[in-house]
Parts: sequence; C-alpha cells; structure tokens
Amino acid sequence: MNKTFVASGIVVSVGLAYASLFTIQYAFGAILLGIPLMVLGKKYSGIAGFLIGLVSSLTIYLLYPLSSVSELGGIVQQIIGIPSLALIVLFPLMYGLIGAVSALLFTGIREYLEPKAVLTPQEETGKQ
Amino acid sequence: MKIRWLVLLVIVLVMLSYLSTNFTTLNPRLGLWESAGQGNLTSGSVNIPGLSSPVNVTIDASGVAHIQASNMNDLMFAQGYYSASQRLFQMELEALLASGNLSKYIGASGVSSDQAMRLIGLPGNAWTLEQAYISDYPQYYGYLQSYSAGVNAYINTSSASNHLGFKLLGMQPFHWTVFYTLCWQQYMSWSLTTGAAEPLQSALIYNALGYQNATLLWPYYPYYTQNITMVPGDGTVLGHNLSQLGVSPNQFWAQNWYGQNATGVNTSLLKTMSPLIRGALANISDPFGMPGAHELGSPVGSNSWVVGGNYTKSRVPMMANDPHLPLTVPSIWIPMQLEAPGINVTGWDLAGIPGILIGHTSKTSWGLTTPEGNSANEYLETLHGNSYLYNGTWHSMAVQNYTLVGKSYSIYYTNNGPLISRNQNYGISLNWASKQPSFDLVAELGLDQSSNYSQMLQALQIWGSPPQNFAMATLHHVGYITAGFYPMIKEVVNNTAIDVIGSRSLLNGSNPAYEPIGNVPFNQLPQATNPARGYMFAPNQPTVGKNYMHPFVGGFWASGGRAQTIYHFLKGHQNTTIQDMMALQSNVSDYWALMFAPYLVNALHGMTMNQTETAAYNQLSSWNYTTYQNQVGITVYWYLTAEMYNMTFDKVYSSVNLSSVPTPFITTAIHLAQTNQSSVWFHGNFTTLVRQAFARETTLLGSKLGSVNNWTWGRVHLLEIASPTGIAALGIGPIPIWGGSHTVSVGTVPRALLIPEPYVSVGSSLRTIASPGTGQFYGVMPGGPSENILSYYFSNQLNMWINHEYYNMNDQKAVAVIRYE
Repeated sequence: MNKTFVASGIVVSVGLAYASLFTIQYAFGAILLGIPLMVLGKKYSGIAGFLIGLVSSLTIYLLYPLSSVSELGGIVQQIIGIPSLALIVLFPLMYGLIGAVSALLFTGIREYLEPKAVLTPQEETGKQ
Repeated sequence: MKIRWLVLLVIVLVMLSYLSTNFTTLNPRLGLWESAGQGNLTSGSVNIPGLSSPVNVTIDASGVAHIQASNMNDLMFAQGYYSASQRLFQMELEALLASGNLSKYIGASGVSSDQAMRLIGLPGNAWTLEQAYISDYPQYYGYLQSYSAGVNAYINTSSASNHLGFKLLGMQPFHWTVFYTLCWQQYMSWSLTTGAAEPLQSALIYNALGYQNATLLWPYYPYYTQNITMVPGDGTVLGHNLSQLGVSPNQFWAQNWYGQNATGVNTSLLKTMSPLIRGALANISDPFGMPGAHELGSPVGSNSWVVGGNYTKSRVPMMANDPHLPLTVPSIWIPMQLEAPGINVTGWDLAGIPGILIGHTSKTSWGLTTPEGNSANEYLETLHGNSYLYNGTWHSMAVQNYTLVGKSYSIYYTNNGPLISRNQNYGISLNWASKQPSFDLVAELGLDQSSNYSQMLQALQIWGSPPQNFAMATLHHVGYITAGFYPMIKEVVNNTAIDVIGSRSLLNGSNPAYEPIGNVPFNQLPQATNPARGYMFAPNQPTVGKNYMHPFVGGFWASGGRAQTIYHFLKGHQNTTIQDMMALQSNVSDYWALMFAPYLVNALHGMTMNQTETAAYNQLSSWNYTTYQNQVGITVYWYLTAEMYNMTFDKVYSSVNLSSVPTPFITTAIHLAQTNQSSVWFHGNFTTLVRQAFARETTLLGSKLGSVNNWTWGRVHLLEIASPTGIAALGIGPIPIWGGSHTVSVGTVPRALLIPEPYVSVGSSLRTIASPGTGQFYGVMPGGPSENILSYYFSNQLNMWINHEYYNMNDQKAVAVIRYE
C-alpha cells in the first residue's frame, strides 16, 4: 500500500480514537480506531493501534489542570486503594490494548479476505 | 492469517471489552476525571433557557455570590441554578434522604433511613405543605417553582452529571421538584425539633430511677439557669404571667410532671412500657441523621445575642449568631446576596431551599437558635387489632402502604399521628407540629425584604416549624421572639387550668383531655424588645423564666454554660464594640469548669501523689479554664470528669438498662459538689471519688500520651468535617481544635474515656456579626460555597474560621462576573 493510504489510515484512526473517547464511555470504543489501521501490515497495525489508543486517551488529561488530575487521583486512591498513577494510566492502557487487538483483527480479516495472488510485491512489502 | 488466529483475536477482544466495562469511571473524558475540569468560577456568560431577562452573578474574593436579577422569579430561578452549579450532588443526596428514597439509589443500606423518614412523616408533610402553598400562597409557590426550574436548567447542562459524587456513585442527577425543596425543609425542621425523643428518654429515666432522681439529674430548669433566660426577668411576657392565672411558679414547678396527674398515664402501666419506648426511639432514629439531634442535652444548639443601642459604643444595635450544626463539607449553607426590585439581602441559604435564612438587609439583621421546647409530643395508645381507643370508642387506624427494595411496609395512624412503636395492645404515636402546613418560605422572604423591626415581627407571625429563637437587630431596635408552632396541652394545677407546652413523658392518647388545644398565640410567645439592661442572648438556655404563662413542661434546655459566659461577658462590656462581639464569639472558656475545677482541686489537695499525678495536679490547679489546643489543664479536667462519670452515672445507668440515654449535664455534678458531697451518686464521699478518678485518668493519659507536658488538648480533641457521603477522603481533618462542649466557640465532644476523644463533628456552621446602623456585616463559615473538593471554593473560608477571623461582607473585591442570559 502506498504511504498516502497508510497515512490516511493512521489519521482516520486517530480521529476515531478521539471521537470514541468523547462519545463512548467504555474502553471498547477503541475497537473503532483499529478498523482504519487494517491498511497497515500486521507487523505495524498492532503497535499503531496500541500507541494511538494509549496516547490519544492520555492526551485527554491535558484538557484539565494537571494538578487537579493529580489531586483527584490521590483522593480516589484513598477511596479504592489503587495507586493514583495506576488510576490515571489504567484506562489508557486498556484503550490502547483493545486498539491493538482490534487493529490486528481487522488487518487479519483483510488479509484473510484478500487473495494473496492479487497482491503486488510492493503491497506485500508494505504489509510486512 | 489463519482463521484460528482470527478467532483467537475475536475472543481476546471480547474478553478485553468485557473487562474494560469495569473501568468506565476512569475514562479520561467521560469518567470522574471530568470533575477535575470543574474547578473554579470564571467570568463569562451562560445561556440558560427559562430566564425572562439577564441575571448577573458576581463572585467576590470570599466566595460569596452576588445575584442581581430584574424580577423576583428570575432571582429565584438564578438562585436555583447557581445553587445547583455549586451543590447539585449534595442537594440530590439530601432530597433522597429527606423524601425516604435513599434506598432507590444506595440499595438495602438505605432502607432503615427511608423507613424512619416515612414513619416520622417527612414526605407526607411535604406533600401536604405543597398543596397548601398552591391554595394559600400561589405567589410563593411560583417562587418555589422558579427555584426548581433553575435547578433543572442546570441539570439539563452537560456539567450536571460531572459532579464528583455522581461519578463516584455511578448516579445520574434526577429532575428537581418543589416537593424535594419542601422535603428538605421538613428534614431541617425535624432535626431541630425538640420533643421527638426527649420525653421518651426522660420517661425511661423516670421509670428506672424514680421521680426524685429524674428531677435531680434533669431538673425542669437546668441548675444555675434561672437568671439567664432569653427573655430577661421572671417569665412575664408583654405584661402576662403565670401568677396572674392564680398559680405561683413555685406551686406549678413543685408538681410531678411525670406522674399520672400530668400525663393521664398510670405510673405502674408506664413502668411496663420501657421496651415499647425503646422501640419508638429506635424506629425514629435515622442512621444518616444529625448526630445527637434528638437527645437530652443535644449537642445541636447555637449561639446568638443582641446588644441594644443603649449598650454599644456606636449607640446603634448589634447582633451575633452562630448556629451549631453537624459540620460537613460541603456545608449545609451557601453564602450569597440576592438582589432584585424589592429585595436586597445577604447571608446564608440552605442548599436546596430558596431565600436567605440567616442574614441581613441594609437596615435589618437576624439570626436563629433552637429554643429546646417541645413542638412534638408522644402519646401512649391503647390498641386492639387495627383499632385504637379514643374517648371511650374504638376507631380504625388509617394505614399507608409503601414498598422499599421490593418489600412492603405499612404505617398506621391514630388521631395523634403515626404509630412509631407497637407492642401487642399498646403503641406510641408521634404528634409533631410540623404536620400543620408551615409556610416558612413566606416568613423567610418577609425577613429578606424587611426594612424595619415591625416588618420582621410581621413576617415571623407566619413562621411555623420548627420553633426558633429569632434574634433581631435593626437601625434602632433589638429583640427576640421564639416564633413557631408550640402546641398547648391543658393541665390543671390547684383547680386552675394552665395551658402548658409539652410533657416530660408519654401522654394518654385515649383521653381527649391531653390532646393539643391549639398553638400558643403569637403575642404570647416568649419575646422582648429593647431590654433595659441593654442585651439579650439565646444559646439554647431556657427561653423564659418560671413565671411564664405557658410553662415549658416539655423544656429540654441546654446546660446554660455558653449562656453564662455570654451573660458575664456582656455584663462587663458596656459600650460594646464589633471587636467585643468577635471576641465573645471566639471565646473558648468553659464556664462550668470555672465553677467545678476549684472543687476538684480542693478534693485533690493533700492527696499523696506520684510524679505524674503531681504534674497533672499542678496543671489543673493553674489552669485558666480556656480550651486552646496547647492547654494541658483542660485535658486533665476533661478526663477527670469523664472518669468520675464513668464510675458513677455511667455505672448506674448501665445497671438499669439506660446505657443509650445521655447522662446528666456536668452541672448536676457541680450542684451535688456544692450541696451534698456525701451523695450516693458520689458513693458517699466526693473527695474519695475525685481521688480515685484522678488516679485512673493519670494512669490512662500517662500510658497513652507520655509525660504530662504532652497532654495538650489538641492531641485528644480533633475536628473532622465529614462528607455527607461518609467517604473519609472527601472530608477534612482530623485537625487539632480548640473548644469544648460548653464554650461559646464550641467544640462539642462526648465525655468518653478514649484517646483521642471521638472527633468533634458539631460546631459553629457559620458565624455572623451585624450592625445595620453602622453598615458593618461580618461572616465566616468552615468551608466554602462549592462541593467540588478540587475547587478553591471548597474550603476557602476554613482557615479564617479556625483562626476566629471574619470576612467583611461589605468590602470584598469581585473576582468573577458570570452573566446568565
């Protein structure tokens, strides 16, 4: 696949990652971000899915005063006993993980449905 | 990729997705973190559907919101919107509590509270009151609706569900209605009602210990309070008194007001009713209610005093008020100014209820304390099946059914009210004055719009429940009135009918002679204006003397320690200034310790002591009776009296199954030390008792705190300002704190042998000092307007409150201007 196509897939994935974070309360919204990443080969789609999921959800914290996030983390830590840093990164990790598996799955589906014979050497290389 | 890998990925994805549903609260955008973005109030405009014209909300440096609207309905709407923006979670939690619906949100753990609220009748009374507003005061019902509309306008914004409490409990805000406002009014009324449990507790004491001991431990008028009543003098009010009716105060108060002549209940029968009485006490106690609100010697009290222009340096009147309520974050109060044509008032409103309850206009000021006289009474009912006996005839009880968490419950009613306890053919009913429609909002807005003394009195004619001591100061007048519903019961003394207030025990519900015959007329309520001596005060001591024409048989007053301090301070401060008022409100001296400690020191004098005991004795004997955190003398005094009570009153109470009933005030011990040191309550020898208690306490304190120099009050006396959710992380404290149970600046603590003592949880929920004549208004509260723990305004006034400092409410810089349009 050509670079433009791959770049487009990544941009759309990032867009879907944020759209999902703003509209879907559950971390399985990250399934959406994996779909456009099918244009990447299976070697990169999983990594891309994880990074896009992790970074997009972590950057959401920038919407708030970081001192307030830290303070709130400390309060919730006292309530439920989980360290505040873990509380802050838990959802992004889960979101990234689901994004990664989703990307791998959709890449696999694409590969499964796409006859190998019609792949050009360049596409084969890109897939790897 | 092979198909089995795809299947495996699908399985992993499904598992991860399922697992992720547990982490939705941690979603950075839609989870609890959004609360982190709801910090502080900033200038800007907010589009709010429902306003007829724009409203300006100016936030000043102390966090007080100044709401300016062009008409009354917009003002109420904006107050509702602003209150919800600061306190929505608190308001809704309290509404659920008061309406008996807590279990719908928190499940089975809320059932006993819901049962109590419904049994007492809060939601039912609120519903009745709402119908009465619609028919009798439609204009004010419109204000209530505007307030609700404002709350709902906020609920309709995306911010509403972001309040941390909703996020943590996984709740969504529900639609607000006038009913919830009135439920909360009923809840506050119930919390400040005297007569709900006190006659039941005093009946238990009477049953267990007899008349002589009952009156020794809990005299009708507490010891040393006869000359410090709210209304100066012997009890004569507006020229009328008991003597004029043909009964002298001495004759009247020599009666056994627990006995059959007073209550219509056979004494032998009453003695068998203790289990029934205990059942009633358990059934009306709310596990989430104000701690100790309905007990003999309740810690829920307040201070207020007024000083006339003839006694101040400025020659104009002044007023001070600090209501003692459970201290919570957020506070039950929100500070604000309400301004529209016809109204300009500043003070504190109860979150969830429109108007300003304690505050001032440019010409008037007022404060509230609880008078501690019965506005509820309990009746012993004779029952058979679902019928009750009244006036010789059997009547069917009304019944109300309801369901909580899938289980059905029923409440039965006699003519007196709900049956709060039943044991076979006997039951106890609760006759609470608040079942009468009480249009307190009408009175409150009347005060908010007042510009002179007579307008304030006129407004208070409408005040119903709970009765309150209203302290008032205007440009030229000061005064008090105990306004509200006081049901009268006709008693006969020396063949003379006397309409009394309340009872000391259960009344006979089957005999019409003991039914309430109406409320005390407004012009016969305890009241006085511009006292000749220059000042009056009402910190829960007896409101009126023994010659009052409607004797408070059901008067369960505070010990009067704060009243003594206020009385002696004001007596010595002619030409009182604002600074004097502040100094008095900050006073942490224990008047009862001043009276009692010399007896203790005298008993210890000459005792053979070890090194620790000698050091402790030196601290006690040189103590100046103040209760600052660094004082050691108060610690020695406090644990010494706690040990004495443990060895005497607690022991006797425990032996007669009275452990759940409060032991007497310290003034009983002082009275006995003064009059009968060989009393059986002192095991026959006061000196021996004190020495034994002293040896015990020094051993206890030494083992826990080390050397005597470390026994500072701040190590054992700590303040906790709790969250209504009960989540410790959302509260403040523990903080070492000044004060004691009898100091003007109060730090109420139970007399327990624990180190540290149970945390102080009741105190001055706000402090205000007002002098309308000089335009000086000061205030402070232990917290701030916001319920957001991350907001500066969550606790912005706390340090000032702890340090006994004040905000000048007339001189605060604007820090944000928000326009509602």
